[in-house]
Amino acid sequence: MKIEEKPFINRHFELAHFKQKAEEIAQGNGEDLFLISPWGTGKTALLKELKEILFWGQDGLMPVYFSFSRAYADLLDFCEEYLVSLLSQILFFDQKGRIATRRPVSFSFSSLRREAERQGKGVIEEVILIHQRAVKIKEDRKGLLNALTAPRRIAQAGNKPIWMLIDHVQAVLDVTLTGKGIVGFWREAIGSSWAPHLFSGEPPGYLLKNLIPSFGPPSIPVMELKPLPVEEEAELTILLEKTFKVNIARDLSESWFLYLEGNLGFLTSLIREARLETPGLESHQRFVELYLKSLCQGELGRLFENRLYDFKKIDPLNGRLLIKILNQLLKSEGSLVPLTDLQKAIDLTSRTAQSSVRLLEQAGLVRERFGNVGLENNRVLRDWVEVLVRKYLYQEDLDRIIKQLGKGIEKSLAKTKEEEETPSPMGENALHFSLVLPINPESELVAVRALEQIATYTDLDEASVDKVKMSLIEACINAGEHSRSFEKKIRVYFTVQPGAIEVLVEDRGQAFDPVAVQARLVRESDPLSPKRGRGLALIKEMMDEVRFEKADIGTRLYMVKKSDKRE
Amino acid sequence: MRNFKVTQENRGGVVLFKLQGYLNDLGGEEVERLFKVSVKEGQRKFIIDFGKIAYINSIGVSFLVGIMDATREKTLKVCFTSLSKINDELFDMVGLKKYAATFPSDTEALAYLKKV
Repeated sequence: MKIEEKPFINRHFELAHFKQKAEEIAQGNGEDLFLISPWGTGKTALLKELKEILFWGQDGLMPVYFSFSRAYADLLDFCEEYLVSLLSQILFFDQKGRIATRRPVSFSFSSLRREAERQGKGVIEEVILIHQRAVKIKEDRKGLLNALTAPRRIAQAGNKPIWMLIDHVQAVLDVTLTGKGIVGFWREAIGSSWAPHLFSGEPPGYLLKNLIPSFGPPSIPVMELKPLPVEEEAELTILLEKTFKVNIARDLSESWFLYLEGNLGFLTSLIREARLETPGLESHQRFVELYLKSLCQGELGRLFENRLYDFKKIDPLNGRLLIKILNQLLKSEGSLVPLTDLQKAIDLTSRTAQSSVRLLEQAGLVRERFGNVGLENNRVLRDWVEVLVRKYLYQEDLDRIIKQLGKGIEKSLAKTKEEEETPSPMGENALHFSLVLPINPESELVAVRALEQIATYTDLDEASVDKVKMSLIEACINAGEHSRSFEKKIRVYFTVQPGAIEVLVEDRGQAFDPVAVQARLVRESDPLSPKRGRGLALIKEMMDEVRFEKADIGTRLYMVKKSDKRE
Repeated sequence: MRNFKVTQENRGGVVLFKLQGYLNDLGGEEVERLFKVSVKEGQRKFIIDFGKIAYINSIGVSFLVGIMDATREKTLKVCFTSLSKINDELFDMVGLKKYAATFPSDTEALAYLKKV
C-alpha cells in the first residue's frame, strides 16, 4: 500500500507509526488503540492529518474521523450525527477517484440513502433503515447498537477495513442512556479487525482512571502523545508566524514556552487570535493583554469553557459552585486541599463536593489524589481559573482583570527574559556556554567533559576545577532524579571569567525543594548504611556560593567557584 | 556501567581491587558485591586502588561507606591507595578516612597489611 506524503508540521514519528498501523489494518491485523495526552498537545491536528493522508493516499482501508464536538439532545441525536459522519465519509471515499474537488461532500441524512442506493451499497441502506425505524419507535438501544456496529458491518460487506478515528473520546462518558453510560454498547463494536478504533482524548489521568478500564477486558493498548520538545516548538512558531503572518517577538514566545509546557494548541489559538487582532506582539504588555483577553472572551476561553460546560448541562447555580471550589483551590496556592476541608469551607454535602470535583477533574482543571484536591500544575490553566473566579465570582470587568492579573504575568515574563539575557552578574567580559543533556544514565559525564574544556578559560587551579566537576555531577543527578522534567532534559549554563566559573543547572519539570529531598533520602535510608542524600552537602562543601531557586517550571541551581589567586 | 571497571587480584592473602572510570551507583554496587563475596570466602585484608578512578559521585561514596561499616563488625582491614587530591578530600569530608588507612601506592599498603 503506497501512502502519499504531505507536508506536516512535526509529528513525523507519530505519523510514521500510524501509517505502519494502517498497513497492518489493511492486511487484516488491526486492533483498537487509545491515544492520550494533555489538552493542546496536537492530537486533533494529528488525527485530521492522518485521516487526510490515508483518505487520499491509499485504498487498502477507509479512514473515518469522528469527533464528539457538541452536546447531544438525546441518544438518537448522537446516533444520527455519528451515522451521518460515518456514512458520508465512506460514500465519499468510494467516489474519490471521480470527484473534481478535494473538499469533503457533506450529505444530509435523507440524501445518504439515495447516494447509497446510487452506489449500490445495500448494507448502508440497511443501516439507515434500522436507524429510521429506531427513531420512529424510540428504540434507543437498537439505534445505538446499529450506529456503533455499523463500521464493522459495512467493512465486512465491502471487504475493506474501516479505521475509526474517534476524537475527544472523554465526552463518551457524558452520552448516557437512562442515566447510564454507553461504553457497554461500545464494547460490542470494538475488538474487530474489520473496524478497529483509534480513540483519542484527554486529560490522561481522567481517562486512565474513568474510561479506559471500562473498555476492557481485554484492555486496549494506550499510547501517550508526548509534547513536542522545546526546540521543535520553536521551529513550529516560525512556521506558524509565516502561516499567520504574525510577527511574534522571539523572546516572548521562548519565555512563554516555559509556561505552555508543550501545549501547542494553546499557542496556536493565541497566535490565531493575534492575527485577527494585531499585527504584532511587540511588548510584554501587549502580549499579556492579548493572552488575557483570549482567556476572558476569546478562543482560549471558549476552548476551556466548552470543556467545562458543553458536555454537561450545568445550571448557573452549579456553575457558581464550581467557581467557588476553584476559588478555594486558588487560595491554597498550588497545595492539595483535603476534600473534607473544601466541603466545610463552601458548606457542601459530601456527594455534591465529590460530583463537583469529578466535573472539574474531567475538565482537566483539578487533580484529585486520595481525597485531596488541587489545581492542575499548569500555568495557563491556573491563569484561566483566576480569570474565571475574578470574572464570575467577583464580577470584575475585563480591564481590571487584565490590569491586575496582567501585572504579575508581565513581571514573570520580564524576569524570565532578564535571566535569559543576563544569566550571570559576572560582567560583560564573561563567556557563556550552554548544554542540553538528555536525562539518561551517566549523561552527567558529558557535562563534566565540557566543563574540563570550558575551565581552561579561567585561572582556577586543578583542585578547584575538580570540585566544580564533582558538584556538577551531583547537581545533574539531583535534577534528573527529582524534577520529573516534562521534556526529559537538563540544561546546563556555564559563565566563565578568568577569576571564577558559574554553573547553572536547570530542569523544566516539577519544582522540588532540594533540602527536603535530601532530608527525605537520608531519613528513608538504612541508618547504618545511608546510600542517598549526600549530594547537596557535597555541593555546599565544594563550591563558594550555592543558591537554589524554585521556578514555575522546575528548579535552578546556581553554583559559583572563585579562583584562590584572586582572593 | 559503561564507564566503570573493577579487577580483582590476590597478593599473598591480600585482596586488591583496582577501580577504573566513574564510580557511581552501579559501580559501587559491583564493588560491594565483590567485597562481600571475598569476605564470605574468608578474606580479611583488602586494598582498594583508586589510581584510575576519574570521578566518584555521592552514591558511589555511599557504597564505600557501606563497605567500611562491614569492616567494623568483622575485624577486617581495608586500605585505600592512589587517591587523587579531590578524592582524598572527599573521603575526609564524608569520614571514610577514619576507618581506612590511605597510602600513595599498593606496595606501601601491602607492606602495612602484612605487618598487622
